[in-house]
Amino acid sequence: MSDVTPDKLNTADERERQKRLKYYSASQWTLIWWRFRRHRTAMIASAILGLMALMGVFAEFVAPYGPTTRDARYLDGPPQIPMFCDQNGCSWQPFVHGVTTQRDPVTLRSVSVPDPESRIYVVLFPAGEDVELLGFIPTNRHLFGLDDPDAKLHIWGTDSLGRDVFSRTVYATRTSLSIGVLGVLISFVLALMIGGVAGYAGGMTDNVIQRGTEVVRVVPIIPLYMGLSAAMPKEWSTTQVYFTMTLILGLFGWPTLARRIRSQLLSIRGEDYVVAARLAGARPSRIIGHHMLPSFTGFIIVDLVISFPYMILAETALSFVGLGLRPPTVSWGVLLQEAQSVRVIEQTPWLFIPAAFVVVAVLAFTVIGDGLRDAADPYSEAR
Amino acid sequence: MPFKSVLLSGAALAVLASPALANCPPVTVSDMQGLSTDYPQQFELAEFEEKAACALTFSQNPAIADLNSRITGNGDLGDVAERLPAEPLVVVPYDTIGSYGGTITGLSRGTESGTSDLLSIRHVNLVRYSDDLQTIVPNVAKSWSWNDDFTELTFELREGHKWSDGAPFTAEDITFWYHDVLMNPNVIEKAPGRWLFDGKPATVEALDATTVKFTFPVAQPNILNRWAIDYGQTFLPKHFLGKYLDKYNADAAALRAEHGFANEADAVNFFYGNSDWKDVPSPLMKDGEKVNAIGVAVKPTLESHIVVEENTEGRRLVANPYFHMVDTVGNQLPYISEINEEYVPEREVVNLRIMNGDVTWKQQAMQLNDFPLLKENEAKGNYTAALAPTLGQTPFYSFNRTHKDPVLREIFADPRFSQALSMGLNRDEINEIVYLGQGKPLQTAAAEHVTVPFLSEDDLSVFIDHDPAKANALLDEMGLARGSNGIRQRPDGKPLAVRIVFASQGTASQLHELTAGYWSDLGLQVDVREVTSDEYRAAANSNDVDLMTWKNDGVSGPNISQDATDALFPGDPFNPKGHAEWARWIETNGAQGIEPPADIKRLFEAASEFTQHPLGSEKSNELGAEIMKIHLDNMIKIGVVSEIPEPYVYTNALKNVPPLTAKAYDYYWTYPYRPQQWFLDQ
Amino acid sequence: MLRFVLERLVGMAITMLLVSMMVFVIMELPPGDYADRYAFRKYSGTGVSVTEADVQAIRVELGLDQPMVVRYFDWIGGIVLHGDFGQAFAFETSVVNVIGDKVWLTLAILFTTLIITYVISIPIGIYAAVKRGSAADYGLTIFSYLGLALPNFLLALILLYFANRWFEADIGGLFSSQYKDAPWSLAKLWDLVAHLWLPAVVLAWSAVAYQIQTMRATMSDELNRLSVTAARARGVPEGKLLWKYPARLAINPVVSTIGFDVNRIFSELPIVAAVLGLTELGELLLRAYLDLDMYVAGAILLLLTFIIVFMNFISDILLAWLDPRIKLGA
Repeated sequence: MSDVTPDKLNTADERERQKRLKYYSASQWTLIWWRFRRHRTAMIASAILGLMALMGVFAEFVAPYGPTTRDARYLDGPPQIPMFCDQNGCSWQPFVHGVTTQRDPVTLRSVSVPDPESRIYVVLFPAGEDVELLGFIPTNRHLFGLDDPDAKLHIWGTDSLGRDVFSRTVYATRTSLSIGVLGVLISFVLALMIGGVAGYAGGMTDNVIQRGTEVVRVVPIIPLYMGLSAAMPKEWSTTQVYFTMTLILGLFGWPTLARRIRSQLLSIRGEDYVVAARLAGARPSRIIGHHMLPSFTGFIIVDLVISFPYMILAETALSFVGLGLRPPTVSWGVLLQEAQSVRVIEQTPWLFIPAAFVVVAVLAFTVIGDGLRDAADPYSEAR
Repeated sequence: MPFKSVLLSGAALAVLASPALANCPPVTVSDMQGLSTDYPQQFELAEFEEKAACALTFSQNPAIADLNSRITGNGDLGDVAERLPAEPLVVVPYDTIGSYGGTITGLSRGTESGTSDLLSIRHVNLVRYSDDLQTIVPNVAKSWSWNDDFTELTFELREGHKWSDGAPFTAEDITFWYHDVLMNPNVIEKAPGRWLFDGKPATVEALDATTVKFTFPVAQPNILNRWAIDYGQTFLPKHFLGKYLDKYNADAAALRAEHGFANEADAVNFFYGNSDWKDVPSPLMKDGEKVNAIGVAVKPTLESHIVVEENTEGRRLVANPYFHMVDTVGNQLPYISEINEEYVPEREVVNLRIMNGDVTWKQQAMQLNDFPLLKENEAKGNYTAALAPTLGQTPFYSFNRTHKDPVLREIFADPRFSQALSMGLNRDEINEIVYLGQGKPLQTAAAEHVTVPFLSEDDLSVFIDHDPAKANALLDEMGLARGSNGIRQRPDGKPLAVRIVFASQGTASQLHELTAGYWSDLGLQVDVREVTSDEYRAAANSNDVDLMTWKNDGVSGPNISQDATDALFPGDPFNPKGHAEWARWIETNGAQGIEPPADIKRLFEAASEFTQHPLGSEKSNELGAEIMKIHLDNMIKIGVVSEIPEPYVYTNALKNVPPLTAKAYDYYWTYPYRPQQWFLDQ
Repeated sequence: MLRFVLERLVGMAITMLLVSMMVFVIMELPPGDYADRYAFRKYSGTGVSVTEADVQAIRVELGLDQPMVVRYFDWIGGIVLHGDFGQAFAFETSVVNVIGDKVWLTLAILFTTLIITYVISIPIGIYAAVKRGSAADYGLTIFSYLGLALPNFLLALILLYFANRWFEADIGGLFSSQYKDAPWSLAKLWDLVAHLWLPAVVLAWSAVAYQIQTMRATMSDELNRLSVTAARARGVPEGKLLWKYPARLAINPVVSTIGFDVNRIFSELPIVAAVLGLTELGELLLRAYLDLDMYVAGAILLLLTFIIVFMNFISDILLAWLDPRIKLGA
């Protein structure tokens, strides 16, 4: 496709011919990509998700503060919106007012009082906490912050310990997305093995495996996860808990995909090229991996993408009820668990901002999944 | 009609005989009408009638017959004057004479969780603390007396006092509780240590129907406090439970068989449980069919209300028609007809229910950081949210000096370690963030300083300033040098890691998140894990934690003066103070366990001696001060913030509620504030 | 048909047997057992110091010292032969006592949710399919995406709050206190409905979203069929036409996913119920897990799964009856 030279594209006919040629000679993946690109919402969703992933990967840089850094002067503080103008006029550089926190003498509620006379300017790449980007690049620069190193900017407010909600959300994004990725990978490997064996062997083996799959499918999944998480020894560290959580999520996420792989394998088991490979003495793993799987990789990818939201929602739900990740780990579920109170709804609703991330991520995965499904379906071109 | 005429003439006689006696005045605490009482806020009947020069006539809740009909096994009711003791306790209402009826709706977490608040509302015991939390006053017992060396305590009961089924309550019911249940190995396998004195049982004798004498093997000058503040009731219905024991009933075996009990223990357990804990499931919960077969739902009680229904969602109680208290115009108490206890484990639902005005009373498990929300919604929900001083809410950290890991054991045993970690805490910040600025940064020792004379605020003000430099210096001095990553190394080269395992029922998670930060700054590797309270207790009781962290309850003067458990190790399994290996070493004379340092050995001696001197006496103060010094010198507990107030709420319709002097389990929640004279203004 | 039903029944039994094994493994997973905590609970406040021997005695008393296989057969045998699900340690009574009437309340929630789901999603799905590509269709698609994306415990919390603050809805339970122990009556039923709508709406939320999509997709396929075009050409009125062919066929996938819906509802139930303070099986399950009261947890998990398997069975039978071709494919 890269050998198309501009001078040949002089007539409409020629252009059309070239286009067709390109189409017929394109690889399966290119075709899928072309079709997917046309799906506007899916493209937008991909962009959003990409941003989120970047945010997670470069959390140390994107977040102005650490996930547990406290600002004792701003407890339960509402979001600070950078502004350009106040009663004292306008400025080209956005700024916020300095704040102090006071306590209502009757209700004891902490109330933040902005000082309209003080201006602290918002700047890009200020020096701040020392962090290690990607775990090995030391830096103290952050994406944005205030020019006064003693003041902190909380664009999404703070929680009752004075921790920055934005920074925590950024770090939580890393945890939650990575749990999703790891969980999906584990379930993918399991699905491949289980579905592969069932679909390739067929017969009795298949029957037995089908029964097993059925069992995992009928038990309600969150209660099942809850049972496994409840069994985690309490003395485990947060890191151990994190990895166990991914394992648990992955361990039971495979049935749908395994069924898909099995039925696809069963349907092409008798195809000539598979039989040929078998007669040529190829080992089963090679036949499955090399000859059979590529014929429906598209579907597998769609299924993988679609299973992301379930992982994320499951993590959120488990952490929410205290059976998943626990502070000081930050994940979307942990943040929402901390927001799970009437007090928060009434007095500090900004702690629910992480919920928007959950919704957006799940939506994005769903939309991308739909887009990919359409794109992977060769017949969708017929319309 | 001779019979009727006798009655008539009797009535006429009564009227004629006391022409001078008027109706009794509606005496209340806010208007005592010039009367004074022997004990605060209550009279004995004779005392009242004499002082007020009146004759009290008794009246009852108009719905009492209906309520009685809901008590399974109760017969028809007699006249109120017959149901009351001949010498009822005359209670002075706080503000007004109340009216009958209504239901107290309260929320507990579950059958055995967070129920004490409502249990205390109906609670009775031989004696009680008045709301000044200083004076012990009569309740079920009319009076008491001591011999000179505090080894014999004699209670005088009320003539004609009756159980909730109408059977007489006598001194025998107390001896039955002690000798036939607690100390009877056929019924209770292991005699409860708290009712043994120096390891030996007391003797409880019924001198006559209304006189009971406790003889203790060692002096117990403070034991009266136990009746005043304790959840446990020292009487059981002999007429009811005795029939299952061979000792009192020749046909007991047949009866047990008929009612499906394998043995004596099984029968008693069904109605009583296996200790004085009252929040055990009632027979209604355990086996409703058996209840139907036996014809009695719960064992008779002396409390103001009795359980009539129970399931996994809650309990319902009705007023006890034989309750022994009346108000100053002769109305039998309690005023409020029913208690509706619902189990709501979800804290947010509790808050919403309160904000909706659905809850009549709640104080237990109300946390300070919900106060702003509750206070702001006060008017909408037509309730009052108030703050009360607390006792025993001081959170503490106590490092495990009998740790299974010998390296950590040695580090933790060095008082400098705890001193350094104490100075690492920024208590002012903790106070501001976690306790809304309402507490006071202080250490804590084995007693609540406001309840005892031998522990001052100054004693508790050591190592409380936030001083990371000094803290670091102390840790360096201990040889815990920092590694290249800034984490301190143990002598064996491993990083110095500490895990805070906590339950939010004991201490707030915010506190631990802050603490973890402060201690990380000192170079410790700190990990925080939240578990359920059961899990925390199990871990602490089996020596599986790096440190104990809970609130310091159970150490008010009245409590530790008669039961040093909570000032010692391992404490009660419910509120473990750890270090069981020390206790084991002492119990086995060094055969097992870990040898405690010399001053800790002395602590065990001093603590048991402490209970043998009257609280406030010179000797008691001396021993108390010594105990506190040992605790503080070793820095057994790192106290965080003390004198934290906590909220309590009640619907505005609930009357005769005084401001609480203290909100404390140690004085058994509402027991000092006489909930029997609460009423609902409908 | 009879053979088909029998086959399905046998399949159901095998599945349940395997499920029971898996559930038992989960019950066995937590480290330690209930004996420790039971011991401390038993002796707490009595001043008795608990020794390892006491714990061991309790272990024997509760039968926790037996090997796993023995306990599995004890357990499953008790369930199958006597309907005995074992001991609820935290409640000190039998599991059956604890679960008791919660089963009915759970079923009440389940069926209310299912009814709400189908009543809303079927007509809307049909409507969206008929008006494919219209603004209404897009709106509904966005709504259904949201339904899939919004974690429903969050929805529960928010609805709980607003229902409570704005409508003064009763919360925290399935009955008002005056009806809790009353015998069944019309008033009590109404009281139940008044309490049920909130959990049912929360639980139906995502199911509705999912079913709208299924219904819309199937219906669109059916509408494109020649038979419909032919009928339209014959002048069959549009409303009648819709009902006569496509809608009836489009119900099939809905019926076939009943088991799936039930599964999802039960999956979400514990957390939603915990947030709403409903004391039914899901919430009890969550509490049992937190308390490690594993006999209660096992019993509930088994029961919920049984209901799902049973609903699957019903849906298979219904499908076979609606569309006889399915039997052959089975």
